[in-house]
Amino acid sequence: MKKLIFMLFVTTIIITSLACDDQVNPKTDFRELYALNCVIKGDTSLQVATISRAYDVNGFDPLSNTADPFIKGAKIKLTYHGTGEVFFFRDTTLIRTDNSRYTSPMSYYYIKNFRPTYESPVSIEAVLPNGKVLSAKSTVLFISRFAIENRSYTIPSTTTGKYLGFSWTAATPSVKDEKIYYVPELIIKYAKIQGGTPIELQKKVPLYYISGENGEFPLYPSIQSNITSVNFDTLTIRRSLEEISAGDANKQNYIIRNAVFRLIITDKNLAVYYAAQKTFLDEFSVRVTQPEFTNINGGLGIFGTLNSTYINVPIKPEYIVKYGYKAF
Amino acid sequence: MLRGFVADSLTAEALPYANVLIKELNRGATTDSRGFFVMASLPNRRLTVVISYIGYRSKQFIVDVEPYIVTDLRALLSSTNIEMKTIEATGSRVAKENATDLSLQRIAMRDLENLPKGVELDIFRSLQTLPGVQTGGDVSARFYVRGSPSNENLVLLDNTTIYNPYHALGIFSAIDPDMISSMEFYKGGFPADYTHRLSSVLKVVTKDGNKNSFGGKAAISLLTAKLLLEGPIPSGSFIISGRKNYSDVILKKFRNNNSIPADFYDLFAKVNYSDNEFMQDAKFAVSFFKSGDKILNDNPRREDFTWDNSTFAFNYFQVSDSPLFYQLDLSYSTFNGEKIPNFSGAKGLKNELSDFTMRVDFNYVYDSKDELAGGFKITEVHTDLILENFRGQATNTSTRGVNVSAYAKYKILRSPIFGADIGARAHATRFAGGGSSVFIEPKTSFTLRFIPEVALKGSWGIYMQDIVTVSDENEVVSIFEPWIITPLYLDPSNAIHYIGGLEITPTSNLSFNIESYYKIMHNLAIVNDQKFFESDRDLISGSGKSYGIEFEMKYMFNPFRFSGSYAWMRAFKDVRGKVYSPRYDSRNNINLSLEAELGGGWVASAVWSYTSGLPFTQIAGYYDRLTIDQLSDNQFLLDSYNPFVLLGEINTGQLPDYHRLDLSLSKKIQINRLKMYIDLSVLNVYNRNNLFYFRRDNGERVNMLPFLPSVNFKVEL
Repeated sequence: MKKLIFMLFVTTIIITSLACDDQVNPKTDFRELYALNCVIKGDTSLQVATISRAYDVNGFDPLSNTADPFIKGAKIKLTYHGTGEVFFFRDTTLIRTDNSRYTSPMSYYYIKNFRPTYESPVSIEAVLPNGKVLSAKSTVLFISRFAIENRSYTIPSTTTGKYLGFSWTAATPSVKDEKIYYVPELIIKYAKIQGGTPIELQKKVPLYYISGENGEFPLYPSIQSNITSVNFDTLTIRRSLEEISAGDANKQNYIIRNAVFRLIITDKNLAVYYAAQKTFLDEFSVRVTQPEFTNINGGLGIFGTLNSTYINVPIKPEYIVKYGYKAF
Repeated sequence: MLRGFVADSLTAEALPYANVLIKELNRGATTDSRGFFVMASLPNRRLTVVISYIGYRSKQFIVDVEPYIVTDLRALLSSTNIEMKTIEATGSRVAKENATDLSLQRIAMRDLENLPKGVELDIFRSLQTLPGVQTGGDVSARFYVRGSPSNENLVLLDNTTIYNPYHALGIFSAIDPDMISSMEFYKGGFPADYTHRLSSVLKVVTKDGNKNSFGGKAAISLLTAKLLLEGPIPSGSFIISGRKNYSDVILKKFRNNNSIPADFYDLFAKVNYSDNEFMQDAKFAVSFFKSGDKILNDNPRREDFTWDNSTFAFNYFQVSDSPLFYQLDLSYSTFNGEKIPNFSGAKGLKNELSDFTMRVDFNYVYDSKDELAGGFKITEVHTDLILENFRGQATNTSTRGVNVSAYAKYKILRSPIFGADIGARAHATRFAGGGSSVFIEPKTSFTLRFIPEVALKGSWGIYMQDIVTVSDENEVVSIFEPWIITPLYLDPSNAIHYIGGLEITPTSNLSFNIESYYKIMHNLAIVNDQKFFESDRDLISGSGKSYGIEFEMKYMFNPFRFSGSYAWMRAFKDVRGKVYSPRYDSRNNINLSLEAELGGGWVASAVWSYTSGLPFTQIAGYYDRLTIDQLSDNQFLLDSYNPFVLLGEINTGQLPDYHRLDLSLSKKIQINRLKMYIDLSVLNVYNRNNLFYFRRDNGERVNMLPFLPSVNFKVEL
């Protein structure tokens, strides 16, 4: 009997020790990398770039890093190949509105005299204080505001009561292998009177609302290269107008200005970067790597271009008044 | 010439791999998967034939062999209830003397029924206890053979290819073991009869159904309920089986207690007909298999999944008066899989595949005992694939093509100490419309038995695969793997196998098997993880190699049966000049299993498995990544950054070792014709926290199956 008890005891000890976790380090040696981010915008002459470095933390919560990774002192050169012009960025800092992670002002770089005026390749090169070089190429794209079908748009729509539709002419870039990607937006501009002062705000209108287990949620147009029209449901526009003052009984505190239909275009690099960060595999599949796209040679980040055009869409005063709001 | 058919005396179900011994000559043979055997060049006299099969009483037959006359023997063996105690391996060694069976495992379902079933007895999981067969973890029934990905395994159900034989995220096999008679599993070096895959072949042979009386089985586990009906028809038999899941309580355990709204079923039906007045010495069967899976979320913000396999097969087997038999197989197999993203943000995926195949095989036995076999195969495949990768780039392909191949092989079996199988298959292939190419697959294997107890074996062959999956190795769990015909911009994948082995059988109840292999793979179709733009190709070409050595020991001592194996292997892939170990490269594997017939219908078993840690990619730091929520936001470059993980070199880290002990206790109760089986299993007895993967975002461990008791109940009439 004693022998049996001893054997059971030994077996229990062995089994308990087998059940223990093995320690394994999910981390390897830190990888020093730098990220350059710059998106050239066609609707402004102020262009901005940032450079940050990779970091490591104790444990697995990257938010615990409080050492500002944005670096200054780099030399950034932008070449606009259409004219051969070369621009050099200046570095500066910005006081952060959110100091929850980093308390020091954010370092960034800018030029304020470059507004691209026609389609052309553009390139960037950054030489970091430690001599490391980051570079990338892209294409500045254009779309004429007249690409949007020239007709009278109003809210509510005068042509069909069910939706407000916009269409535009697809453009083909002259730069080889380039492609234009479109993101259409419908925005309602309004002001809310607070303390007698109107504060200008805007409300983005979704394509429609979808029913889900936690209530309805909005669905906005996604970035696509092969679309030339978009329709906004009238009921969705009405609901967006209602949501402007949701929970506020005093509707007269709201002044509805107008709506704007904006067509944003991007180059393919920015489109892929933007799309990749918005995708995930699915709920059940498990992937041990993450989507990551960069077109920066020697590092991470994105160098892309963005342009936009828009038309005003008046909202009829009698329609605004129906919601209890003030017009204009 | 003597030919025969060995079957169960009660059901007339064929007994595959039964041993046939001619006592006076000490010469043996083994029945094939149809229960059929042929022995040529016998002396013309009265002979004693002893037929034995595990779990059955051996039987002796007296036959008169006469010149130029085929002697037919129909042997019906009686099952015995006390299985282990009546094991008689009579003739098994003689039968295997010169068999060229390197890397081949023949598995009768009776061999599996005593092992711990876990949630369900699963044929793919049972393979994972074999040396050289690697699993992706508890959460997947997919198997990886000798350093090759799972899409290089050919799964045949009655000679019909099944493309995605998995249920519920790949956790379970879609083939119900109750409908299976036997399996043949080649871990490599497979002969010219088989083609279209680089790594392994699993040939599943289904039961014919009870030819003598009507019967049925009903079984319930914590996951599924199933029903099987079988019985005689005039000059034949039928079998119908169906299985359906009814609960996701167990499935949750496979997914960290998260619910899986999975719904699946499988259905199999087969009719056999054999009437000598209608067609002498012929038999044909018509069978149908269907499996279906759905994961439907009642929420438009979540994606839904559906996938199904269907097969329809006609098999015709003819024995002629000369020592010749041949078989015609016509089969139609489809796979449809779809991920419906709804409004989840996940990317859509739709894959449709249809495969129509006709194959004819013949086998001729010479007086010298040598055999000549050959045949041809015509396969027409159509694949459609619509998918968006995780970078948002779309693929839309639709391809149809035909592969025509023919093979011949000669088996030298005239010497009792030496056997060889020399053959080749020639393909006119390139499924993709418009393209064509010729590919030759030469294959050879030999067995040299120095002394009765020791055999040296070797095998070499070139293998080709022209249909591939667009599956990403970085997905540790994938719902299904979409198939496409190898695109025209890639050459068909090919592999060369070099295998050597040593078989030692010191006594009739003890055997050792050692095998070593070296495998080189070219033109592997690898998912292009650098597909950033639509114009980028979905697949790129890579290469790989694997090598290893496997030891296996089997020992039977009443009332126990023990088997143990150890495998060491290395696997590498070379993609874009970068060499790395794939995710299933497991260095050391140990499997130990012990079964005991305790008498009175009680059977106990234990299985312990060990696998050294699998490779994984480690975290090399973080960076603040520009996160663009709205492109119209003027400030996004200045205020929109979120932490993102930086990964180190691919698969240079190693997960902790995996090990698990499973126990099972079964009881069989028989009351007249009624048999009841109760099986209690406990998985992961000592609740080992086997690591599945680390979550990148927070470093959290996600473990595999915890301690999990399970019960199965089956009634058979």
